[in-house]
Amino acid sequence: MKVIRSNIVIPICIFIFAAGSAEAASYTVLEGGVDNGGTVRGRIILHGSPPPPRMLTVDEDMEVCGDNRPSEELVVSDTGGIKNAVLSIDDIQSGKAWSLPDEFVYHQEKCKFNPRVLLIKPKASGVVLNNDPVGHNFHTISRGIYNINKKMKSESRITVAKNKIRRPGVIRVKCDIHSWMKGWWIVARTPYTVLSDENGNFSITDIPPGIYTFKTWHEKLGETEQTVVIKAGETTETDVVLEL
Amino acid sequence: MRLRVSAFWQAVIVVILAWLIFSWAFPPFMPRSLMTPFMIITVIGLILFYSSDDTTWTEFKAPIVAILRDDNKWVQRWSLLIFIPILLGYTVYDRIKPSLETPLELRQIHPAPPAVLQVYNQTYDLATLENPVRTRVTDQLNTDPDIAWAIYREAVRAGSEVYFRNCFFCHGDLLGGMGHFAGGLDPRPTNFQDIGTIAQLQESFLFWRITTGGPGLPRGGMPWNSAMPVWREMLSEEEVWNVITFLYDSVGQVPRMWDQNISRAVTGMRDTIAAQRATMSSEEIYQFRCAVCHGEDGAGDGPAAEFLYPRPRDFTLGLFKYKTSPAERPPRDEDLFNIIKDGLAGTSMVGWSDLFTDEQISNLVLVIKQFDTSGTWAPDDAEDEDFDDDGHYLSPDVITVTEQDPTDGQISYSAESLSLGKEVFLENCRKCHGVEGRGNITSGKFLEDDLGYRIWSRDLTKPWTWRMTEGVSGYDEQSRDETIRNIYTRVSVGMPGTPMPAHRAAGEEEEDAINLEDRWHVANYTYSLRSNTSAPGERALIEGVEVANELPSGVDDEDWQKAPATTLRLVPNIIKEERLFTPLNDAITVRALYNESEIAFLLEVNDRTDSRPGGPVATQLPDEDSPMFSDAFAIQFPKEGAYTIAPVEKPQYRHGDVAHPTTIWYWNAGSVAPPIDSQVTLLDATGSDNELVARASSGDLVALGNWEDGRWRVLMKRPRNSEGSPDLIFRKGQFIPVSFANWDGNNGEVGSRHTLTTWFWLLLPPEINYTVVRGVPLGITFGTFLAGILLVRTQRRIQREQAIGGAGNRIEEGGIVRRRH
Repeated sequence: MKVIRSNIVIPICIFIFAAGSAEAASYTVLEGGVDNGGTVRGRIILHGSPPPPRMLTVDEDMEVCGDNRPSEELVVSDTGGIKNAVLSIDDIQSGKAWSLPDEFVYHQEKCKFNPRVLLIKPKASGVVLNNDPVGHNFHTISRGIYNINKKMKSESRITVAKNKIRRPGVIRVKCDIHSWMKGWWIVARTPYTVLSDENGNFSITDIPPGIYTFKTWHEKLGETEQTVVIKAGETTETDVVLEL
Repeated sequence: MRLRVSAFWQAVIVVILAWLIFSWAFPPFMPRSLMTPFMIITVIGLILFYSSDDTTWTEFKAPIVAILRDDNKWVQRWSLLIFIPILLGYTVYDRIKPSLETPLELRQIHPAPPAVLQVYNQTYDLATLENPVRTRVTDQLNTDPDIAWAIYREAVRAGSEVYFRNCFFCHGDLLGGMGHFAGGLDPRPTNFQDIGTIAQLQESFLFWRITTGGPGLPRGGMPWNSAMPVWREMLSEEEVWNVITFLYDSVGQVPRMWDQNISRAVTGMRDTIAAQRATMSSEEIYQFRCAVCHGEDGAGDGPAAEFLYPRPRDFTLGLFKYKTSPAERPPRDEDLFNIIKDGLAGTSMVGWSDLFTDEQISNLVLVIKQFDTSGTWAPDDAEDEDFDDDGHYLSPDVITVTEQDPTDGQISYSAESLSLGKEVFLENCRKCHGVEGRGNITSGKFLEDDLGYRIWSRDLTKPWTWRMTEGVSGYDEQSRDETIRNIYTRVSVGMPGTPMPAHRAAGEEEEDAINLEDRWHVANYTYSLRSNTSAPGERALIEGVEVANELPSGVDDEDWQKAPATTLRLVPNIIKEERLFTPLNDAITVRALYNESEIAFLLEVNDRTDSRPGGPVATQLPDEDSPMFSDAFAIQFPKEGAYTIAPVEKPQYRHGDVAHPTTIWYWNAGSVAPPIDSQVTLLDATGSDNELVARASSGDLVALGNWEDGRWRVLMKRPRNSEGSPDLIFRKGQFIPVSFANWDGNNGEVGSRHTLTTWFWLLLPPEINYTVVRGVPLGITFGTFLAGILLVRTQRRIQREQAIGGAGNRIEEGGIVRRRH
């Protein structure tokens, strides 16, 4: 097995709307899937030692929300792996079937969004649940992908209609009542979009052979791009080193 | 027979006509005080006219004599006998009762300029000075018109930038003198659209007015009231000429010029531009009028944007705060239309109905939609290729939203509804709008809009800052209910792009965050919050009230309720560097109490934050872009003898001047960390070019402040006569100039970056001598009544004598009476 290694270091940059695009996703699923596709896998690693997590001040509804807590904006494992980075190959026009669900569920629990970063299939419907006994302000911010701001009573739900979220990109999620609450919805352009796990590992499979742009996105560390060459049946190993 | 009006009624008609002419024909010029002498002259003239010969005189008098004598006219007779003395008595009472009318300030609008002007280290002869930009243009016009026009267009462009970064805050977008800070200035800024202003003047006059500002005015121009900055300190000579060129260009006028050839050339250019402007497309209108704030590409980033709070709308995002469509839909065309037409209260967005036709506004709505890069106005079936790389939707079939969020089930405005609404408010709105609705966040929340700019929740007690909400038909029930419907819509659909959420459920299986009834109750309650506030402009005089006992020593003292509240507009200091363009506090409410020896003021400012470095607000609501300073308040008075009333002459409005020094009472909230107590300071001011001098001791000035629920209340107290100081003695019956200042430390306000009022009048009402004020009118009423009775008796006796004597016809009868006179 041939292994390609590449390490890149990028400076911090945050593009809140950067991933937004006006184009609708134009990806077609190949009947019968991808034969003998390639894989790219690796780790997202933080360069240097991680800073101590920023402490969030919990000063509203403490009986439900709990005490001050560390921010989840940058979660780094003991071995330097970065959780919740989004890895994607967007320039594949057709390929494997979607594994993301047609209906997503998003939770607000103990004044925290769960999950922190959610991958969404375009046009999927969804449900946002407030599981807390206090009200929340469910507020999404994006460049024209999905912008709502709805007051949610305790233990209530709102629905995201099918086809409402059509375009790929980044949607920031927040609650204006509990200002520490932050979350991200990433609308994937292609099924070749994954999240890194708590050790920073990721793996994208069944890629049709070719030369692609491999993108990483992280809420705190910004975006990077690099070229990957995918060969039939082979695994390309790529570690991405990000710098704070 | 010819219809003929008798002499007496002719006279009555002439008197009424004269009154109408004097009142309406010269309304702006003729002071009301001239009315009485004019009317007396009219009446005397008529009497002289009709008494010139016996016939007309008798005819004139006939109705009067009839009233006095005729048996069947007793009702009219007694009515007049009672009515005339009462009228006379009341008139006298009205004259002698103590007047609260402020001193008359007559200002020369266009004072004579000096012969020479010394600015920019040069001496200019104002009689011959011409705009060098104009000279460069007209020199080239015949030889190379393209170059001439290029020079001209560049000067106008540069002048526009100067205007919108310096002048438009007061003189306004429409150049009509109605900028967003104009309301805090008296006199109002010049209206350049008025053909009585710059069109009547030479450009050298403007150069003089701009470079030397308010302080450069001669006495007749009342320099002490003018907020016009001394622009030579902030603008270069070239910038001044460019902005002058821009002004004439923008309003389509030609300055007065000596040289007829040049004047004709300039008029020709003006006509060419006017012809071009008459046929502008809506895109060109946008670039001409709107782009200075909203940016060439509609991204809310025009040259003026950084000086504005709230910032101009970014049209690329499809987020519009004020709309009547359901929460998840873009605004209706009517919403955008109304905003352009009527403007947004409390912001720099003015209503454009004076300059744009309805058709032009409708077309501008389309221009705005074309700036969108978020697919807001694209139909659901839009294809990828319908968008360009930036995300603009290219097809002309942009959507038009017609659905309106429902406003059915309105609940009437009643005490019961208000109390239910209050519960809903405290449950749902309090966390951002504060317990009292003053927009003070009750916990550590730093609110920002979707673009990441800091944003504050609305102070619901100040209806004059509500956008697209106030009903249009005055203060009657109908407009109240209309306002409440608008509040209801805001609660239902939220304010897109801000933290204000929608409270009506739109999706399936969703539940309203606040149900329909409660939304109406809370809308009613929100409307009611205005009753706790007085709006700026309702009163201008600060009338002190005398109390017999000790003056209040705290802000909660009940005695404060005895003093009338006067609310004044605060505007930022944009007249002297360093300037403040984006204030948060727009009004200060003042009360004054006094007793034999002391005077005390209560200042109230709705301020969302209690700003003291190291205090709870500084740690909970940190703004990395803006350092925290201490909140502060100040009151300014002229020193003793530094102003006069007749004629009015006051110190310059900010910090006085050398000939008219002022004393400033200053209170500062101090800081929590490092621990610094609040400070009380007396400052001596001798003009805005000179440093303020703080006295070593605050002496006999007492000041303290209390911040609670989004409001500062500050008390300042001092002896009315501070012995041994040069400061003003607060005498009864004397009008005293006073002005106020406020620093909102959380808004980065410190030093010269603060808000202030213009001069207002303070009056400790004079002692009233009730014997005179009531006795004299009563005496006159009674005396007149007796005289009337006497007259009637005499006349009726003559009547009887004549009847007995069988005297001749009415003409002779009149003659007899006349001789008796």
